[in-house]
Order: sequence, then structure tokens, then C-alpha cells
Amino acid sequence: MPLEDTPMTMSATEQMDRQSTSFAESEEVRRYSLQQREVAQLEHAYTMASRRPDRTEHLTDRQIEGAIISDSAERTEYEAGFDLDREDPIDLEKFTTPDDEDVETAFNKVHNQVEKMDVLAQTMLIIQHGEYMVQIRGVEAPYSRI
Amino acid sequence: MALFKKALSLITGSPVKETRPLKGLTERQLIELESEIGGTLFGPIPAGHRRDFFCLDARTWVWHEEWIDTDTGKKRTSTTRYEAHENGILKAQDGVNYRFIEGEELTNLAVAVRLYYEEVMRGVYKRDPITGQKITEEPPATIDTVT
Repeated sequence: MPLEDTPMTMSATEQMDRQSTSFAESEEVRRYSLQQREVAQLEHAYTMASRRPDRTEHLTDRQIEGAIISDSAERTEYEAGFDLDREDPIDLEKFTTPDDEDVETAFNKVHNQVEKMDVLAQTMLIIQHGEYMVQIRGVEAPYSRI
Repeated sequence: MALFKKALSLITGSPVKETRPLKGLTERQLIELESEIGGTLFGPIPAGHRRDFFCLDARTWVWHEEWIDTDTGKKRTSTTRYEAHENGILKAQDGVNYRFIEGEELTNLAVAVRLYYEEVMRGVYKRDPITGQKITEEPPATIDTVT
């Protein structure tokens, strides 16, 4: 259970506060809150997607065609099932991971914010970010440079 | 051709310039790039371990770990899926145990997911995680001046 082993702490008082807050909410309040969040998420996701530049204007027709064919052929392979045994690792020569200090700073910043959320808000956060990642992949995949 | 380029490089003294054509990245390849960052979010990875943490689809997050058992010398793997439902996060470990997570474990997952999003947006897609705008590393070609 890897996440349980992660060294993060929450005081007993904070846990009780959070539980009592969530218990105090009625089912109707939860549902209404959920609906409002969903609407806000969709609006935000739509705004983000519409802001992105169209890279196709910088490519030749041949490059666009090649990228789409390549993507669709390999997507079929992916859709057959995600293969965790990587026999064809991609070239990570120019890929850099963030350094440890950046990760630690971001980790602390995010952890402080998330600790204040209730369970439902945390769940919605996870759903929201999953949807964004898929959306970003859809925009980036055909024309990325590596 | 590669040999010719190397020879030319030795003669002229200038390094070989490799042109990287635009290449279509599949969703799977993007996930692998994301996982390179995801695996680093929980501190140092023990020697002999390989760790992946990635967003598989809009509702599924995967933690995968591989290591060699020091007693038996055999390869061991553990795969945990976190499925996001509107009423909670369902955890499925090695396809056997299913339960909704809560408390500290849920908090930790939420932190990991948010951190993953922020780091991946910057590290893989070179975009600001809040605005979605492309992060430009080069200064603008022209500077507007007020006259």
C-alpha cells in the first residue's frame, strides 16, 4: 500500500474537524455542491482547450498527414491494452525531470492546500486533473516534437 | 551517412547536428513521459526498484512497482489502480482487493495527483498548469517600446 507509507501527517484535531464538517452536510447539499463543481470544471476545461494555439499552421501538409497516420496506427495498439512491459522505450535524451528542490517545494505547497479540503473536494480534484491530462494528451499527441 | 557526418565533424571541428523531425507521439508514449515524473513524486526510488505513477485515463490512476526479491531472486510486481468515482476513490490492488480509500491515504493521493498535474504540465507539455499557456523559454523577438 504505497500511499499509506508516504510520510505525511495530519493532526487528530484536523481529522475530527474534517469529519464533523462532512457529517454535517446533508445529502442534498452534497449533490448540489457536486453539480456546481461539475459545471465549473466543464467551463474551465472548455476555456483551457480553446486557448491553446493551433500548431498545424506551422507544419506542412505532409508532416501533418504523417503524424496522423503514425498516431492512429499506434493508437490501435494502445487501445488493445496498456502494456507495462516496455520493449520499445522511447528516446528520453532530451527529456529532463524536475530537480528535487522543485518537487519538494511544490509538494509542500500543494499538501498544505489539499489538507484543508474535505473528502468530496479531494475526490473532485482527482477527477478534474484526470480529465485535464486526457484532454491535454489529445491536443498534444499528433504534433509533438521529441 | 552517419559515418560521413562524424568524419565531417572531425574535419571541420563542429559538432554533428541531428535534426529531429516532428514525430507523432502516441498516448502511450505521452503516458510514459508523464510516468518518468510521476515515479519521482514520492521520494527516492529504492535501488533495484522501478516505479511508475501515471494517469491512465480520465478516471484511473496507476501505481506500478517492480523489484527483485532479495530472498528468491525473482521479479516481483505490484499494480494498484485508483479509480475516481463521484462518491469516492476506489482502490484496486493487484486486481484483488477493492475498497474506497479515506483519511490520510486519500489526502496523499490527492496531493500526488495535483503535484503530478503541475509537474507534468511544466515538464512534459511545457505549459503553465494554471493558465494552460505555452511556457516560452526564449525571449520575444521584438520588444514593444512606448514612444
